[in-house]
Amino acid sequence: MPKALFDVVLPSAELASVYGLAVLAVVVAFRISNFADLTIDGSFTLGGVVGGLALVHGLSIPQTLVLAPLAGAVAGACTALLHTRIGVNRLLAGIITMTVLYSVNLRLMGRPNLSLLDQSGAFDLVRPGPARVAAGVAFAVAVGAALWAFLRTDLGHFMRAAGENARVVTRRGYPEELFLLVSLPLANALAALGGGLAAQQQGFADVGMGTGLVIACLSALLLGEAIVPPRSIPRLIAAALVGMFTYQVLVGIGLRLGLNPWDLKLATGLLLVVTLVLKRYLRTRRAAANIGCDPL
Amino acid sequence: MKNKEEQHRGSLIARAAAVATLAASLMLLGVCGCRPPAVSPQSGSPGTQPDSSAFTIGINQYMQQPVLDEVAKGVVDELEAQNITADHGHKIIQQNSNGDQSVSAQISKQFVSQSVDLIIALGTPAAQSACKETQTIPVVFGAITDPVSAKLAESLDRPGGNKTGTSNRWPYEKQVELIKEIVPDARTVGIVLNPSEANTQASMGFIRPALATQGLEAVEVPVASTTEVLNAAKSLVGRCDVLLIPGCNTVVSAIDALAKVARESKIPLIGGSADMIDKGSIATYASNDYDLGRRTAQMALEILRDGKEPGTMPVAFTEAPSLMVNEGEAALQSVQLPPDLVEQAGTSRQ
Repeated sequence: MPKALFDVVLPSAELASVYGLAVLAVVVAFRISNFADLTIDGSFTLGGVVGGLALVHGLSIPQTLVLAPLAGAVAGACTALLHTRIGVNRLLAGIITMTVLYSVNLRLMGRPNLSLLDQSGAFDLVRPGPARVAAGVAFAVAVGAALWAFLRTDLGHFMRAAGENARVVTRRGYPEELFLLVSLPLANALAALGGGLAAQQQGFADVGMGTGLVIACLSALLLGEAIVPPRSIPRLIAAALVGMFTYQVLVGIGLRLGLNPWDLKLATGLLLVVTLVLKRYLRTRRAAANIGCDPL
Repeated sequence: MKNKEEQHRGSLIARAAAVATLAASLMLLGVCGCRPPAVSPQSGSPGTQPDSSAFTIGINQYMQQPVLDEVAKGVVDELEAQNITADHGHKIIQQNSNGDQSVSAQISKQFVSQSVDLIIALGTPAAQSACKETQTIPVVFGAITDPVSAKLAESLDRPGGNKTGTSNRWPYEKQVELIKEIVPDARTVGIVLNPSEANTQASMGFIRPALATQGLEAVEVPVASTTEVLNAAKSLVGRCDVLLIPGCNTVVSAIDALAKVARESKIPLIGGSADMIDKGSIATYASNDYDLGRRTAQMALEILRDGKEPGTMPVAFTEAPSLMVNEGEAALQSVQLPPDLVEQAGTSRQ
C-alpha cells in the first residue's frame, strides 16, 4: 500500500476516533430520539473546556474524562427540560442552550482559547503513530459498544420506542417525552466526551471548536449509512463511526489533492447530494429500512 | 420473499457504490501521492551544499482573512526570493483550514506523517495543533498576537523546544497616542470587538492601559460575528469621540462597516494594520504583515539552512512601526489631520 495512503488514513482514523463520538451523539438525538438537537455544537465545546480546565487544575486524565461528559449531560438536560417543561419547540430549545453555552464556555475559560500544550492529555499516554491511532479507535469502539449495551436495557428499549412510536410508551402509562430526559443528556454527554478528547488531542480548547459540528456529523452519518446500511442498532453505531472516518478521509484526500480550501465545503455539499440522490433512488426499490423516523 | 431479496440487492448496490467511490478516491490519491515530484532533487550528488538539499515545508494557515493572507503572501514570496521553489527541487505544501479546527488538526497530522522538514503555522489554533503534533519537526509560527499566553513560547526571548516565530502585535501604544494628536479634546474611544477571539483579548490587554495612560475612556461594544459590526458601530454614535480598531479578526473583516459609520457620523476612525489605511482608517502606526511574513520565512530558512535551534531564536516583531495617514479618508470623515503629522508620515494617501 502506498505510503501516501497511510498518511491520509492514519490521521483520519485518529481524528475520527474523537469526532466519531460526536456522531454517536447525533445518532442518539437525531436518529433514536428523533430530536434535532443543536445543543451538541455547544456541549462538544463545553466538554473541551471543562476537560481542559480540569487538566490545568491538576486532575487526572480519567477524572477529566468523567467531568466533561457530566457537564455535557447537564447541558442536554437543560435542552430536554426547556422542551418538556416549558414547551419550547425542539429546534429552538437546542438553539437556546447552544447560544447560552457560548457565553458559559467563555466565562469558564475566562478567555477564548485555553492552551493545553504544556499538559499531558489522554493521547499522550500512548506513543504517537499507529499505536495511538489503534488506542483511539479501540476507545471509540468501546464507547459504541457501551452505547449498544445501554440501548439493549429496558430503559434503552423505552427510549428507542419513544423516539420511533410514542404510542407504545404512552400506552404503558409513561408521558411521551419522559425519555428525552434520558436521551438528550446521554447524547450531549457523548458529544462532551468527544470534545474533551479533542481538546487533549489537539492541545487546546477553543470557543469555536464545536461550531458547525452537527452539520459535519450529519454529513458523516449519511456517508456512513450509505456504506453500512443501518438495519440494526449495532450497524447504526458502526455507520456513525465508519461515516466519520470516511468523512475525514475525504477531507484528507481533498487536502492532499490540493483542492482549493474555498471549494472544500462545496465538495462536501455535492458529495452529500450525491449520497442522498443515491439513497432516494434505491429507496424506491426497497421498503424503508431505516431505523428512526426522520429521513435526514 | 422476492421483495426482501430486492431490498437486499438494493442495499448491496448502495454499499458497493459507496465503497467503490471511497476506493476510487483512495486509489486516485495513491496515484497522485506516489508520483515523483516534477523535478527530482539531486540529493546525494557530489558537490551538493547543505543549503541546496531539498526541503519540504508545510504551511498551515488557519483561515482566509486579510492579515493572515498578507503574512502567507510574505512567506511564499520570501521563500521564492530565496529560491525555495519547486523548480529547485523543494516542496512547499500550502494548506488552509478555512477556520475549521478539525481540518486544521488534520493538516498538522498530515504534515507530521509526511515528515515535512519544517511547519509554518499561521494563526493561533493552527500553531497550537502543530506544536501538539510534533516535538521534533521545527514549527515556525506567524501572526500570533500573544505567543506566550497561547503557550507557543515559554518566553519571547527563548521560546524553547522546537518552536519559534513572529508576533504581529500592533504598536497599540503609538496608535493610542495618535488619538490625542489628531483629536486633542477626545475623551471617549469607541471600540467594537469580538471578545471570543484570543487575539482580541491580547490586544485589549495593551489597548486598555494605553488608553488609561492618555486619560481616555474606552467604550467597548461586543459582537459575535461580522454581521453585527455595523449595528455595534452605529450604537457608538454619540457615545464616543473617536473609533479605534482593535486587533480583532472579526472587526478587521468587517472594517467597511466601521468606515461607513465613521463617514456618516463624522467620527474619526483610527488605528489598525497597514492595509486598514486604504479601507477607512485615517491614520495609524502599522506593523507590516507582509514584511512579517517574509521575516517568518527567513526564520524558517535560518533553521533549515544554518541549523539554528528554533527554541533559542527570540520571537520576532515588526521593525520600527511606520506612521501612515490617509488625507482623503480624513476629509470624508471631516477631520483635519495636523500638518506636521502628515509630513512625518511615511505613507500618505489622498
